[in-house]
Amino acid sequence: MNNNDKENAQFLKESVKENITLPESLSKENITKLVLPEKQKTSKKGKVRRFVAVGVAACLMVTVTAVLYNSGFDFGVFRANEEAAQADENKPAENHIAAGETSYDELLAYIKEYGAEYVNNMNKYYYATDDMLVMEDAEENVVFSQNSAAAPMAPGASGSTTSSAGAPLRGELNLREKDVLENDIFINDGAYIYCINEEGNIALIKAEDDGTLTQKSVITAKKPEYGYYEISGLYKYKDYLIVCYSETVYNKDYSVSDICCGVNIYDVSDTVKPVFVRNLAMDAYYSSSRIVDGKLILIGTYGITGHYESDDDSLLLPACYNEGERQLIPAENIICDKEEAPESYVLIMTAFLDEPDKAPETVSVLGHSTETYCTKETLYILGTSYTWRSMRSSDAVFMPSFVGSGNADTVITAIDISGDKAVYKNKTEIDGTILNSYSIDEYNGYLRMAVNKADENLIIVLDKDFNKVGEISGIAKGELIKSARFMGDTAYVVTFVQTDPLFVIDLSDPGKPEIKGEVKLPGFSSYLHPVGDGLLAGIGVGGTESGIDGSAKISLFDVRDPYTPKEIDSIVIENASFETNPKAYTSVSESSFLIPYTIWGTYTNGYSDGRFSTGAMLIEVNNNELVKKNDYCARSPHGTSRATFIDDTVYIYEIYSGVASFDMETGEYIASTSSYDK
Amino acid sequence: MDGHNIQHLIKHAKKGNAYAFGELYSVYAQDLYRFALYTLKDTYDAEDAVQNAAVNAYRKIRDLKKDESFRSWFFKILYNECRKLLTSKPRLYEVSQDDMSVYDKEVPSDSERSDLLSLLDTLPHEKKAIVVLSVFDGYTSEEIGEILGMKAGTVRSTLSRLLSKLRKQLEGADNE
Repeated sequence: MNNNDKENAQFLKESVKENITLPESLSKENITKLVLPEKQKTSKKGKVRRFVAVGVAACLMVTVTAVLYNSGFDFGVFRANEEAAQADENKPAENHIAAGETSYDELLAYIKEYGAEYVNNMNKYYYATDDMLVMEDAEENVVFSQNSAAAPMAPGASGSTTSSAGAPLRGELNLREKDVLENDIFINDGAYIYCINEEGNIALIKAEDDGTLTQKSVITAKKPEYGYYEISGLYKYKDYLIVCYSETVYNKDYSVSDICCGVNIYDVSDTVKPVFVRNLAMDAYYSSSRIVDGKLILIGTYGITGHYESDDDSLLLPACYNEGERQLIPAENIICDKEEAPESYVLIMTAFLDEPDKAPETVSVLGHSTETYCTKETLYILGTSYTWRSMRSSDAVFMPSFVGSGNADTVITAIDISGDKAVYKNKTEIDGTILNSYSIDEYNGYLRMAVNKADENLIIVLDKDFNKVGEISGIAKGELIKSARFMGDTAYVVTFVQTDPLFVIDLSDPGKPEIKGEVKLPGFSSYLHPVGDGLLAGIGVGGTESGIDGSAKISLFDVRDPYTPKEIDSIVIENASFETNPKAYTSVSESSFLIPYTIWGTYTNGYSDGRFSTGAMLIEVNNNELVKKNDYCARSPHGTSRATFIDDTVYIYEIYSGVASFDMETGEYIASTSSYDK
Repeated sequence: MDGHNIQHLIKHAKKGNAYAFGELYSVYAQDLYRFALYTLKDTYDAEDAVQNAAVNAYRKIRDLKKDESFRSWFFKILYNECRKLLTSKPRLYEVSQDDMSVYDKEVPSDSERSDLLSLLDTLPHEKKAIVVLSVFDGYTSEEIGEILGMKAGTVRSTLSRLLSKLRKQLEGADNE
């Protein structure tokens, strides 16, 4: 490039005020999840054949005869230890094959056989690297597994406020299931705010009575010198602050990496001097966590495809860390499904927060976790795998093309978490994807779910043994589910292509689910929340008959008559977005809520000029109308991702924007911790 | 991140370590997304393109012959993803014949002329890619040639003409 060209290029570059924010779906973590764990399935036939080979070896050692016919679902599971199989008398024995005493050996033999085939296929299948992949073997579909790009979303049935005697009225985290706690990046206990700051550390901030903010201390994360450390969320449990994290450590030459996730527990009874209490960690990528009845349930995925050729067999087995030392999970706690390709494990650790001296219990199931849904008794782990499909082209080569979320299957594994140790219950596999934990729901012994398939949507009802008892197929063909909400005997499902139908589905007879009514609107709702008797608020985006138009929208649906649901009011803001993560929705009362928003300034040909107004709105449902009661607005180029309140003060937050406070009644700005500007 | 670290990440990613790949991706994520956004003019499509490119790159990284070409190799995959979307994706809306004339215009309207991004949108996507890769991502003509499958000399002369033409159009708009 000559000087003239350089000068011209510089001139052109400076003429553009660029302000491009990388979407969350393209964050490093989400892309890592997307490619991990990579899964390459062979055909069902191949899988069965392979297992039979392993099974023959196993049978030489077994003392318990296994019967492989199913008892309501099509899966067999072997547990690599006879004692373990006997110990679980409650479980249907026919689903397990005890594999004898050499349990790790048994498991390793299974994995290594698969791993050899996997490595061979990785080397064999593809050539031509320019703009296409060419498969040599067209007999088998190559199945590609990815985690959902969306961060695990969580749920919220209650999201209520607290006003018990003496306790301050405060915003509580919007939970998917009542009494099943979830973590978040911004939490409060009525006196203090705990949040992740822009350096990735944890700020402990006193919410003063006058609305000002006083930072009491910062807990600095122990970040590795080489690698990365990310806090997934925080819990406040009694005097403890529980920090969930993921960590990837590389050696200096990057030859070996350690991946782990875990929790650090701090006693924050003195917020000026938080005291580290303990660390619990697993050799896994963080997936999700909950606190139920004083038990912390930590869920992670450990991928092993990178270790198939390792000399160290222990890397093919799941493990926890004890004071930094990798300790294998006992073989009897590892559950291996013969239908599941051994490419990754889900690890489920149960730690006892009220009994600090009690050792945590960890179990592992072959598979991976892209989403979790948890009731007080049962943890449902959803593992979605996406498919590469091969297509014959005119010159008889096979060119797989990535076909998106429609071509996928989801394995649902149910784990009983009611006891001290997580116990495998059963599993099933469905064709299609489940958007998030709001699209799956346990009610009166049935598991209901809204499923998106390649070209249609379904409602599926399973009984407790995972037998399908009811289904509606063909809902909104060619559209994608954008949100769902199950409430008692009714499901509300929003789908979208150009306009947004909201379907009302009657589930009072689980065997005969039925669409009662629907309403079509421009735009779509990404999150639905009940706001009073027969009313639903839908948080999402606006649009026209031609599709979405860059506006943000809150809809108020009247679903009192299931046959004729109606949108009775809406608030639309141009060039804006509402935060649609369910954790961002904070109920102030039964009929009012705080919702974070960002207005992107003016647009020229789709590009923002970078003038951002951001904050939270207080919306009230009054006489069948949505009323914007107040707007807590600041300026920050980073936007706002959460909002909450303590007494009469509203707090808005974003990692890079910090925390800002406002008078709830007047909307007046009070204070901020960092880059929020009045 | 220095070149040495990147080389190690590539080595590790080639062994199938998704985390190393994630680190590697993060070095270029912003550039990749900007390129896709400017090329496709649609945030959803741009997200799809970058995701698909990342998935493809991870799957094919074992076949990367020259580690030092990783960046342009990754962009090449992304460019192919963008092309696929541009050429094969059915639009969600129909454009009437009258509206089609908008896409035939060589010179943007007065209201649009002052914006480089608007001017870029009037270019064929290959030429647009040359400008974006050069102006915003700082690629050399050789690298752009590698990404787009063109000779470096062709890129050089095309780029020179485009830079000069775009500057004139922008300055013209300012003077009006």
